[in-house]
Amino acid sequence: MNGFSVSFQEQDGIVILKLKGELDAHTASELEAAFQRCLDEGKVKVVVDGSELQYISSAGLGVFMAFVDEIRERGGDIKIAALQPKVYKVFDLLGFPMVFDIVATVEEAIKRFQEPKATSSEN
Amino acid sequence: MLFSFQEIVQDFPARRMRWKPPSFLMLFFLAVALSIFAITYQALYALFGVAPAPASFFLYRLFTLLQLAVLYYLLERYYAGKRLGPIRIFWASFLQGIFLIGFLYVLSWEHAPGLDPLTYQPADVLSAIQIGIVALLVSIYGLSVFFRFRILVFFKRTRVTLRNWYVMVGFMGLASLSMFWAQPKDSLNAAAIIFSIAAVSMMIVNAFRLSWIVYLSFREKLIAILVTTAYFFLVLMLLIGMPGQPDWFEWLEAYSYPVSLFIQHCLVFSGIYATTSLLSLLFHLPTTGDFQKKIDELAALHSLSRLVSQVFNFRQLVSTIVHTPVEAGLAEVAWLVLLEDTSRRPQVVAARGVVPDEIAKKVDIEALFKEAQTSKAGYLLIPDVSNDPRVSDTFNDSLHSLLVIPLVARDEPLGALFLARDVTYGFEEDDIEALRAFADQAALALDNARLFQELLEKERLEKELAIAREVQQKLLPQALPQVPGAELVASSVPATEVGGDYYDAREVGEDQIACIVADVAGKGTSAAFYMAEMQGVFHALAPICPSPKTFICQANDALARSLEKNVFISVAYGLLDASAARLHLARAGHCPPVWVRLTGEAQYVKSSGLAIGLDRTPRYCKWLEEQMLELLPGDVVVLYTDGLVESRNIRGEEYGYDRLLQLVKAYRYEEAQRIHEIILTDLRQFLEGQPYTDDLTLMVLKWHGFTEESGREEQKTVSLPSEN
Repeated sequence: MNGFSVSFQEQDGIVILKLKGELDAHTASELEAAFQRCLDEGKVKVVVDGSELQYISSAGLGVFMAFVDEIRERGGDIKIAALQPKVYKVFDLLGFPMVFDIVATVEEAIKRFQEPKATSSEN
Repeated sequence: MLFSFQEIVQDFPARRMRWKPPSFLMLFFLAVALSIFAITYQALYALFGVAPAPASFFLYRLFTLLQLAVLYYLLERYYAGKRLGPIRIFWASFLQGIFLIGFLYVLSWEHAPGLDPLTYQPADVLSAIQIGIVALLVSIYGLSVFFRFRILVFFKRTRVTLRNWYVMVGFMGLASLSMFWAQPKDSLNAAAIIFSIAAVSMMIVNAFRLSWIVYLSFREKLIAILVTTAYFFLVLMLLIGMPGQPDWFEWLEAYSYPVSLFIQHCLVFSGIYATTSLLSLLFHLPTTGDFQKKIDELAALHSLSRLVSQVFNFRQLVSTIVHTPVEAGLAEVAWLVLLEDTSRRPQVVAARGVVPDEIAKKVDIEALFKEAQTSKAGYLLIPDVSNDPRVSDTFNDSLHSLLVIPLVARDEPLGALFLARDVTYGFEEDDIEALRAFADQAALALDNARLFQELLEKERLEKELAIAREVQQKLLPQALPQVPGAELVASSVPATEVGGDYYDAREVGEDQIACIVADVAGKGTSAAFYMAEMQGVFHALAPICPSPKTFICQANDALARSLEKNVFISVAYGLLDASAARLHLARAGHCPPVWVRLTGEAQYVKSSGLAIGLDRTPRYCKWLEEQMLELLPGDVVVLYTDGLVESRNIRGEEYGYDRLLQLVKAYRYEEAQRIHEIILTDLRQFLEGQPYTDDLTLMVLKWHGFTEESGREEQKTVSLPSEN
């Protein structure tokens, strides 16, 4: 529970949200605010950099679900990159890889945005 | 000239305009200049030895009255803001009187001022100078005494006090004016007698304003008796004179008869006041101790008991806080301001004597509150609000002086108590002390009320949780159905009062049993609510669509409508077809079930599938897989929630999938009941006394093999091992 932060970075019209720390019921609202900000600013191509995300709880996972539909409706997507193995396990257990593009690196996620038809989230 | 300047401007609407009063020094020079003028005038007539013409005499008298008015205004202003104790007032008046008398003796030692027996004007130039000086000094002394005593009269003043005072001053002025043309030694005319009687009557009325006496201690009263007695004799000496003493007032009359009369009235009043003070002091002397004790007790008891008993009713408490000072007569108007929880801005929560909305519009509460908070004295006192820009001119007739006391509890500012009086300089020092003590009590009570509210809220939540837990426990099956050819054991332990785990099993067809283990994301009451929904869906859907894939698809469809956007439910669902010895399994974002065969073959059944609620479109079903296990006798299948494998011990290690799989493999020969027990015991050992951080549900199925007998076995229920 000791701290969670989201930092913003933009690259070629793609927003990179870098998550740090532990994402649980207490800190979920921060990620919510970050996604909301992306929506408000019309930036719908979002890459979530999970390289420094230490832990995620079900409430944290809920945030992704809460925003993915709207972002996709507006022509964008949320791509999740560079998750640590133990965090990935949680995503995997709930079947997130079927809904989200989960990739190994941030660069790859950006590449996927740039060549949109090459791969899709369809499995 | 009859009324003080201050009084005239007070009744005049233009007083709100910025009027800069002249400085004391300037006024004093003006008075002295008028004295010099008067002395010159009289000296000139003494030199020529003729009586003045009526016109010049009229002007002369007018100037002497102007001088009196200037002195009156000067001294009134000087004493208006002073806070002098009664003993000091009497003592200073007495001492100055002694000095005055001494000075008068010295002044007339060598040459007593003489009067012309025909014109009653000073007989020579020296006499004129002496008379002028005597007049100035005696006037200053008389007026000083008058205004000093006014401080005592105005102690705990009300509107009536003010009125009585100015009526008295009015009669004194009228009496003086009636004698405008009089010469020394003239006796009073009819008008002057009537006005003097009226003035003295009012003096007696005012002389009974003695509330300051009760606040004196026994010792102070004794001292006060001594000084009032001394002063009383001094006034007698000044007014009546002793044998062989020159008649100073005759000199004053020679200077100006109306001035002399006014000053004499002032001294008469001080004499009367000293007399009533002396008598009252004597009467109060014996009861001082008991009386003081009684008021202290009553006051403390009063405010304390009323406030403490109202901690349970916030609205009543704030109302009492503003009513008490008004009912105690310490203010006419009071209102309470508290800082809002979120904005931290002061808001009026209760008022007495005014409409709360009115206050916010016409008084800059925030600025006053800030100043009161930062003031060194611990409160903010505005003795006269008419020149304060923070209080609107159009505010209220009953607001002339304002006191703001900040309320602080546990070093936290709560708000402030605003008190207003309908007179200027309406708050005495001891009133302020009493009000501050009261404000401390009020702050304490408010703080307690707030804590109590929080506690109440917490208790209410706990009660709610307890109810939710009870409901939840009832949602879990009391007994599982008897499974033909198999043994089924399950239990669930919530980590908090209310968990989000659910398990159940039911017969859905001939020799067909559906079982489910589900985990609602999140905890608390909302999780319990969704768990109840899940239960409803299970019992409604499972008999209609027993196949795992259809069941989960339909459940997702049904629940998607009611689940909140960020809530989802992971589910493991199994359909045991006993006659075919098959177990159909599907998992929706749930931990993979354990499958261990008698041969030691152990694995997790990992079929793909999203948690219910993650995707609410038809493509959900596309991603869902169903697996079919061909059961052999001795097979063990374990369904569980992530609370089991993700439990961490004190070193932060996870229980883990491997440990579970190895454990089940090692004890695969045991009965389901025993395996269930072993897993829970092993987990407890692993946790080493750490509490469960997540809900934990465990369901163990042991397949024995289906025979006709086992199918027809009597339906009997297996009681569950209870963990709760």
